[in-house]
Amino acid sequence: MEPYESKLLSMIKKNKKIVVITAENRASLKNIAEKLNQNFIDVGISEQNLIGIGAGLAKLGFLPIMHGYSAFLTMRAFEFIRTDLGYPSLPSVVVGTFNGLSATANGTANGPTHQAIEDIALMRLVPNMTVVAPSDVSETLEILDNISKLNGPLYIRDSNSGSMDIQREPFVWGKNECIIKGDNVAILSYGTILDICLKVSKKLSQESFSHAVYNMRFLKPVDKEILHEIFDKFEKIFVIEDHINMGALGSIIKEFAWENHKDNKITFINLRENFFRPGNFIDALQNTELAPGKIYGKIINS
Amino acid sequence: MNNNFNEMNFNNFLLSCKKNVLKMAKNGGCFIGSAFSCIDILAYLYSNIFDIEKIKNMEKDRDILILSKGHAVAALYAVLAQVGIISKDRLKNYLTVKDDLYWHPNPNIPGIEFHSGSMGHGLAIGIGMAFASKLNKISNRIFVVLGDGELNEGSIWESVLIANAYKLDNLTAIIDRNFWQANLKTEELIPLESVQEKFSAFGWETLFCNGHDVNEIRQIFEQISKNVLDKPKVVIANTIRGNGIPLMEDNPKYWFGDFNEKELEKFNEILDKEKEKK
Repeated sequence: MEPYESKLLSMIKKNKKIVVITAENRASLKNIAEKLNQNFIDVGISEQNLIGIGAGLAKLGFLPIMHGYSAFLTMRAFEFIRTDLGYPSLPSVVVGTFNGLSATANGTANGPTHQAIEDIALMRLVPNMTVVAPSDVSETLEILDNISKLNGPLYIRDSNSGSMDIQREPFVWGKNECIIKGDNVAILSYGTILDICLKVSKKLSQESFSHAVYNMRFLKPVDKEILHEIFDKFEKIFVIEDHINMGALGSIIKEFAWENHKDNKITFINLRENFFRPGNFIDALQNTELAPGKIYGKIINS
Repeated sequence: MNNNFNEMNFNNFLLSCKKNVLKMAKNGGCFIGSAFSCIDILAYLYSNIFDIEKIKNMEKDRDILILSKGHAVAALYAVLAQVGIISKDRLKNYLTVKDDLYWHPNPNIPGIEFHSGSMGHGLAIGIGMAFASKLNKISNRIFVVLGDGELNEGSIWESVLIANAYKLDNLTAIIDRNFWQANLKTEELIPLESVQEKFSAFGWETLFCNGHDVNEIRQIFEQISKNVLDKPKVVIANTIRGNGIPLMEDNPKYWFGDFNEKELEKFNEILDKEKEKK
């Protein structure tokens, strides 16, 4: 059993109000469907109903955790998420998988139909929605530990990746973290690409290029405290994400800089408006600005 | 069969509900045709089937009704006011910024279990609530009122498949079958017939009634309460849009209505005369 599954199982043992629902996306639920009995509902390939049914359960006091491909959840079911979860601010969890470059993870090679490269922008638009993009499984589990406190819907951009072998600050809900401390430039990222940034970071350290890396997992509400810290300390800021160049971290940073009259030098590295060529993860990266070598080049020459 | 049922009392109750709708058919108006199409069924459910005290107190085992065809909300507000779930005075606030009564169901109004207005959501919400009842091991019932035009929405048919897959026998869909969608006849735009065969083929138990004949409505809902089949149920209620006001009946001009006091006075008289005939 995977850690995500064990976590759900132990949570439901303690809290019978949690219901796991899926639109026949069982990648992260392979071994627990049977064990959850009535607390597991598979609605088939029906994303709109996945959300509507979750909303009906949530309205009567249950806490639904709804699973699906990010692309189909956030786009096909967008109006259901906005109208049935967001508007009434129903405590509920929407877990989207295969988003950004993680659509290529684990040997899959999903083309544009399955690539969610605008999911964060869409979910940030939903009233009362919290948006979080964990970078590995341990972070996803920390998020799940907090869902009983929700007072509205939560979108988890689940990257389905393994565990990163790094020192982390204790997890605090709503707060982002500094993973690598340093001076000169700040690298801001989240989710799947955080790991790539850490690879770049290693190379920068080998060249004695001082820098910091921040995990910007909470994308809504915006953690303004850490942004003030970053903007005050670093003149140069790199915003790196596997998302189109609108509506996600890049936009958050632009909005923050404008609202606070900041003139830091900011470089945005993302997917622009392009789908990416499917392939294995590392090959797919090479065709984008997110290739580790390209990121490294931009930072070291800044 | 409910032996306490008194047809004359019901007709008086229904008349009052309809007159409540007329109070909302001015100064911005309401979807009066849609409201008069399903008001008999709503009036029957709230006066004879539902336990009003349980709804007022939001008790866990209350029966739940979702008006998925949210445009008809004037009928629901009219009935909620007549059974005392909301005060009749509140209807005077309709379409004013000092209250939450507008063209679609607002969840801030007591008795509104879930907001609606966007077509094709209510049945999925109802399925979620039917699952909730099963998980809570309570034997209440979930009713979802659908418009026939609303059956155009693909999400409805996802719901129809899922309710069958999970044998949600505590779920009843009521189709307000007036043969009109917003502007056109259903059969001329996107033909729906046979609605009965479609639902039956999807595994639902299908029932019929004349949605303006209280004795037929009674029989159907009596049958549903006795029913123990492991199937979701659908009541296909044959109705007339704008029923009760000849000018509006089956007339596409009166899906929506916004009238002056003189016209409303005339409609009130027509409703009184219609009732006397019964």
